Amino acid sequence: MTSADQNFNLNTRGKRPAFFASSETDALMTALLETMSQLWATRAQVNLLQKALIGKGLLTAEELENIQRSDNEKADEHQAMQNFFADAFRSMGVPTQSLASRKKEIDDLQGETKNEADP
Amino acid sequence: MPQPLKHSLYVKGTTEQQSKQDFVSGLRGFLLNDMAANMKECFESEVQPQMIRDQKKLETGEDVHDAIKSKNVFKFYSSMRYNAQEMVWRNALRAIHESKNELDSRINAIKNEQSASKLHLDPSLAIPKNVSSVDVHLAPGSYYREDGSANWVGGALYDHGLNIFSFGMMGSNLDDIGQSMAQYIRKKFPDFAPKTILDLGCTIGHNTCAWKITYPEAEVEGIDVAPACLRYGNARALDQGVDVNFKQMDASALSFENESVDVVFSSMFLHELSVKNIKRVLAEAYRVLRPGGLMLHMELPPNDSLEPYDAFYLDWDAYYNNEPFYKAFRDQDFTQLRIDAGFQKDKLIDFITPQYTYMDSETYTKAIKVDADIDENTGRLAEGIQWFGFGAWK
Ligand SMILES: C[S@@+](CC[C@H](N)C(=O)[O-])C[C@H]1O[C@@H](n2cnc3c(N)ncnc32)[C@H](O)[C@@H]1O
Repeated sequence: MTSADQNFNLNTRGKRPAFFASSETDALMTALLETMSQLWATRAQVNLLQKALIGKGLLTAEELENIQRSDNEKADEHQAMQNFFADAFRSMGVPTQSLASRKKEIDDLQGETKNEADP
Repeated sequence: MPQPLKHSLYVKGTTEQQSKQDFVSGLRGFLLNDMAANMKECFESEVQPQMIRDQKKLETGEDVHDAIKSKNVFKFYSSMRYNAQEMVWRNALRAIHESKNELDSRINAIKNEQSASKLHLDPSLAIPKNVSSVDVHLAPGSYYREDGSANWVGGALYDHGLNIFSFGMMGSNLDDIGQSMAQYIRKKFPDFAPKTILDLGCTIGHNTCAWKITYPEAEVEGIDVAPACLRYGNARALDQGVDVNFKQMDASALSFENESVDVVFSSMFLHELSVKNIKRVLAEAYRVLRPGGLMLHMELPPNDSLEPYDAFYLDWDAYYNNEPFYKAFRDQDFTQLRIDAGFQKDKLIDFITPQYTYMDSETYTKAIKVDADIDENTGRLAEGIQWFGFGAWK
């Protein structure tokens, strides 16, 4: 890369909004989504390679770049992506409890079991 | 999913880059459909009943915004949408960056052949504050971004970014808005034969070209303040064989003669101006229109036509997507704005249109026979979207 290339700006001007109570969480969200995106891309690459290996044996880079997915395969991929989201985001926005309330719940349960066990 | 753009300036990117673009597009689809539905459900089942119990004011989008901010679902929705928006641009920029030299040669080749007479830049025109003070839509460098000799990067960024951003909902040539608006007018007013059509804030001319395609006899002009977009748009239109003139001009001070234009159009433009400037732009539109001419703006619907929740939902962009004027514009009385600009009340038009490029012409003609009302799908990029247009005849 030339120095001009290093100046090719990828960043938005200004401060990012903090949606969560701690800015660490906001930063983690960025890392999470980028990791998911990379994982998605890598997964797609692996699929492509597998297809190539199974179908034709060793390929040139150009052949590999030109592999096309059918509409059905694209639809499957799309569905897999939606499932991936459903898995990865399942804990977002659902009710949570504090550690103290959880402890109390467990303690209460234990208390009940104890009582049940009592003669 | 983003589709390959139908012109030779399209940067395909490597398969890895394409997968990342698919991911962002798919993520946006998930957020704007599924996650948005969860947020609405949270509002209806938790936030609203609580507001009623607490006797809190629930009249505007702001009331909803204040009450929902502390909910996890809002935090996650917002954080993911913000990140996804950054990822739209970053992914587009990485692909453009890698093909920069090749793209530069392609643009220059098109330019050398035929473009000079179709592109008029005005170096004395300063970039107005509404465009320069923030990176609009979080796009790094905004519309006017130039990277040394690659003085078209702002345009390429918009084209490729919009393609990822719209997850297939803006038409295969990103021109569904232009096509739907122009076709609506053509089909509803078959005797109207405009000779000159002007598109304000045309960016890269994707929707401007749609007017030339719909009215091939007309002279079509696209104006914008961002030279990077105009240069790119000029090459893009020539590459697609569409004859449109691009001019660097401020829409609030047009250099067109009085009564010299038949259609003054804009799409997704007014909401990027201050209210003061919107008034100037509408007055300019009135001035340059010939009697019998049409002013038409495709926009997001006004807040007073929306339920508080839906207003909050659209106003999200004002606060978190660097669209500072979005809300103030939509808070206006759209009727009064037009009357103040000189138009007569009985000559105003307001309509909703389905997406022309997603149906055959006959189905479209039937669909627009019925007058539709603004609803939660109006202007909202999600399944079932419809475009909103408002304007006036002079
Ligand atoms: C969201 S874009 C419009 C997009 C495009 N019309 C479409 O249909 O997708 C807003 C455009 O308005 C331009 N703009 C902003 N202020 C302007 C002004 N005062 N005069 C002309 N163009 C302006 C910006 O440079 C940008 O290209």
